[in-house]
Amino acid sequence: MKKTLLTLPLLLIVILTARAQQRIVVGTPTADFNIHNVYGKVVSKKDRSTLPGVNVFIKSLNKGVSTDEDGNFIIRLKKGDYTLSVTFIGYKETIVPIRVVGDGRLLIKLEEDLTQLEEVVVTGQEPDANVRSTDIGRASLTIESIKELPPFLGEVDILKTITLLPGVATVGEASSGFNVRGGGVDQNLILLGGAPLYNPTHLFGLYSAFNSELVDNLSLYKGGIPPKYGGRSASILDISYKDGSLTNWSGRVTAGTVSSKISADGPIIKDKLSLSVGGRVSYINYLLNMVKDPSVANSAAFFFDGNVIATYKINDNNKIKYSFYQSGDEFRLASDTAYAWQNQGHVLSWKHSFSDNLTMDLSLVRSKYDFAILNKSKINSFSLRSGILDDGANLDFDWEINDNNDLSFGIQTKLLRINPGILEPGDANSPVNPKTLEAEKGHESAVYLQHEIELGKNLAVSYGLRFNLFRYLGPKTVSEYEEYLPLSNETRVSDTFYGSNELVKQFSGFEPRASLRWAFNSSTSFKLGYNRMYQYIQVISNTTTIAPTDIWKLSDSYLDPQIVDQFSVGIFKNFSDNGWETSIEGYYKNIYNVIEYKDGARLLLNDNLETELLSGRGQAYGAELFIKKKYGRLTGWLSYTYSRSLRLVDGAYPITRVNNGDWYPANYDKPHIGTVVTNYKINPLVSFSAIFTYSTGRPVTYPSAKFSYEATDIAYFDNRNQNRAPDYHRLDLSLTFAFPAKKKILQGEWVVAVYNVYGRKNAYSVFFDDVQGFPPQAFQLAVLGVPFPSLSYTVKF
Amino acid sequence: MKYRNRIIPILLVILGSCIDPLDVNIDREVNVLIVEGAITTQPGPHFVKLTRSAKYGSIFDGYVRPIAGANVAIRDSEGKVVLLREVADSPGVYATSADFKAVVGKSYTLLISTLQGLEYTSLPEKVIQAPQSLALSVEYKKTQVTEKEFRSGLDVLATFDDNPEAQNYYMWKNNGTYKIKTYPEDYIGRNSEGDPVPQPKDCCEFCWLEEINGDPTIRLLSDNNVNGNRVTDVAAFIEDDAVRFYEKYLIRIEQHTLTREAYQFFNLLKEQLSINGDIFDPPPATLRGNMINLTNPDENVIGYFRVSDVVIDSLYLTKEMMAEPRPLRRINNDCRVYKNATTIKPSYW
Repeated sequence: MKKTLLTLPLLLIVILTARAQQRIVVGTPTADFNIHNVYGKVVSKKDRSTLPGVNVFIKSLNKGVSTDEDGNFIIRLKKGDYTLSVTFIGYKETIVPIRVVGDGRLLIKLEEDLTQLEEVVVTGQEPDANVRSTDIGRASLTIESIKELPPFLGEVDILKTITLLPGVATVGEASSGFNVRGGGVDQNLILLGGAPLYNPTHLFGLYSAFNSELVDNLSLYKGGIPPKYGGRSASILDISYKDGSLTNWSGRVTAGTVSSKISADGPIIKDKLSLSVGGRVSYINYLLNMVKDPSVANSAAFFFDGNVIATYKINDNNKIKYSFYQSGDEFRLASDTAYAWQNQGHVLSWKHSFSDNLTMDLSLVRSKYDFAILNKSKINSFSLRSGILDDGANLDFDWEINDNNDLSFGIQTKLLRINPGILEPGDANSPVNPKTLEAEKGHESAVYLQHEIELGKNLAVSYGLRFNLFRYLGPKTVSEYEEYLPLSNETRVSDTFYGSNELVKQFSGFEPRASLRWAFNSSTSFKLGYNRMYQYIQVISNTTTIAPTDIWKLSDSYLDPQIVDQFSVGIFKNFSDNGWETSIEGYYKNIYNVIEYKDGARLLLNDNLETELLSGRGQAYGAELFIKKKYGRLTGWLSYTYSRSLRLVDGAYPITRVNNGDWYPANYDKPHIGTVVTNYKINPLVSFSAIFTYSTGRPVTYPSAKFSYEATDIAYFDNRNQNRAPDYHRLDLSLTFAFPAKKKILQGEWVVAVYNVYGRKNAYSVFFDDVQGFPPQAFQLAVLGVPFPSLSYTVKF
Repeated sequence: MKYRNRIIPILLVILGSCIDPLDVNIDREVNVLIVEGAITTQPGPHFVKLTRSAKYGSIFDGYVRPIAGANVAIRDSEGKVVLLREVADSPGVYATSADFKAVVGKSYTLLISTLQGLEYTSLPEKVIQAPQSLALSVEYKKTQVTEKEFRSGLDVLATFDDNPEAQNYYMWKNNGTYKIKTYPEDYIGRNSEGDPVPQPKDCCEFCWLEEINGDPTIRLLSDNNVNGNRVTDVAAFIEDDAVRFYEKYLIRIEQHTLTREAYQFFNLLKEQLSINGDIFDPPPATLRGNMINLTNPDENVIGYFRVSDVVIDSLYLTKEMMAEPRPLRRINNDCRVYKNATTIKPSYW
């Protein structure tokens, strides 16, 4: 579009200010009765910066457009008089009367609305990007659009918002992470400013582990994943930090019912070096201490997170950025056990432009995740600590050969070190023997190439290849087992020791990625996608949440990497000049080497974990419907997802089978999910938003018999996940008020919200309690079974 | 060592989580043989109980049926076979003779042949020697349940020297004897109209009560992280229920040795019993044991034929061991209404 505008003869430019009310004549008069193009540009009156995403509306025709990323728009109109209504968040509504006499140009200046507190929504993307691009299975959100939604438990929560998108599911309130297109929580690569995040939540899944104030935007890749990304098999969630301002200091303070946060950014050296900092801390402890119940008052729950981001703009062609992230959680119960975990991320990057077309991005990344279980009982006190250290270096190039031809390539490498567990006695009297499990070390590297090309008006393809190499390195003791028998301590015959950095096991593979777009017209397209993903680090867990008791395990001699093949297809159509986006997408996935574990497996502190593990296959398929209204007073989306995720573990022996060797639903299989998300601006200062979500209950296992043992009636289970918990549904509402004030310091924003408005007791789990002397009974656990109100107040400075 | 803990109570209060009964319809029903049997190095008789599973549902819905009339035998590693006799009045319960006891180092196999002609056998189980150094001690324990209510009692701790040469697994069983005092003269009965009227009884105010597994918790220990050490762990918790500590409570702790497979079975059983709606709960697992159907090896049989060496120690628990003993409950009745009550003073009392 940029190009066509330049080549068109410039017929007339009319400068218009917001005050001007006389009718503007557009175009040179011609005699024909054709429809004419009005080329418009919208800029800010204050600094002449172009404004993307501005709504230009003609009431009489009920027709509207919005400006592209350069602030341009085109309206096709017959000769005649029209009244344009130009609206944009943060600016005063401007009425522009025009008379169209021929093709012509128009410049509109908007005046800032100082009483408006909301930030400008910058999409950074063309409004028809969803149709025009070759992206399939991708969802992008800006932090501003997330902030408009009802907060979760009083917090603007990015991960919880992700779960409202089509194709994304969550097991329940107390579940860390999310499930994308039938994948497990460990199959998502979450990049926070480029650093992988191993535990993305606080408090066992109730809150995201990072402060939303420092986030700019995020992209979730569910299918057609670009070759640049790898290492996890289901999805990539790329979260970018906001750069600090190079011109002036500003900040926000939010006080909420559960936690408070602060963020500020501004120049250290004007136009050169900017700094952005943020912090968040919870005060649940204080709330707990107020509860009279002793088991609660003696408990503790605490979390914090902090970020520092420094950006140094050397010149127009060179930018250096460093970001630091730290989070911490401690959870202690009235009993003797405390759980603690910490995330840490460092990213140092250098962005260099060789020319307008060729850019390079070099980054060094360190990500650290530590977790501990501390037991302070009187007789057997102990501490169990484990951790992951992930050091990586990436060199990525992007070469825009021409407008229709883009090449990206790069090389990435990382060293993964896992400390699977160090057990120490808690005090001198504890009889616990210290024990250190052998550390794991793996070296994962990849090279990739992607070519994106537009072939004519209708066809665009993006294809690429990623080649990965994984080397499991010593020191390591590898056990060998008797042939044709299930692996167990009894069938272990010998041990082989590998020295430091000696190659123990090597894997490599090609990951082809491709997507194709066929545009029927400017608002409709059909897309196909294929991607193969390799994953060399998996979580072994007997729960559905990411917990400190989880074991992260590298692929080794007994554990093959997880491989996923995904085929996806979609139809994308926009209506009303990209004001409405709609899409229908479908996918099918084959998952190889899914980890399961034997019934009653001992996972913690096991030197020979392979004896407890089973390998299976997975299959996932589904369809996603998405309708989004992007502009206007009422915005929001509606999504429906049908998805299935199935597993098969069919070993040679009864103990190496799950569900008797038949297919069974994965723990997070939820066939039907529907979500409605709306935001309505009552006036520039008050907005109302609502979220409604419905999903099929998660799979549960019902007993197939009961029996009596040790004088207790006990439920007997012989299959897995063949039944379902009751359906999940929930409504959240919120109201946001901005208080206008002359003095900036007094401008504040109140958010009143209620989570789970009608107090639905959604079943997190269904279990069968066997109590001596009572008939067996089924129970359901609801984690948040009551309406949860919250209040927060934000001040900008 | 307990790694999992209840996360829920805390969430319950701060976030309104709740546990509610749920009506479920269970249509499926499988029929599984249940074998519950153990022989130890203590004098017999030792029992093996055979039952069939029933439909899961209300207490009236399914009835756990005993398997009567089966032939049950135990064969040791020297080929010697002893037959078990079905106990009169207890269908499905089979007993060894009183002089039968297991011998450390030998292996034993349980053989079952049902009236329908189905044949089952256990895998051979070896008797592992128990450490002889068992010593008991107590520790007062009080847990606040709500602001006013609490549970209290005595943790009975077993201390022993673990054998450093081998992987050892232990299970503790407990039984106890205690004396109670009641007030039969204050008994309130009901007249023909059903109204309460005093109906004093002549007897009896003192009884001795015997309880098997007063603490029904499955107590297990693996020496995995404490191999070769002097180990102390809780073998039983005797709750102060305001009845037990009128005079004193004689606790007998039996320390049984287990094979690794037996430990795994009982540990899984324990884990299944501990599922309580915690977010860390493991998914339900299929229990298997060491019993095999000879004609259909894929048939699942629940239950474990366990063989153990046993060391026993006993200790009198008294009120004085507790920091805060509960006031005794007044029971206005004949003390013999209690299960397993006797007015005959035991010889050791």
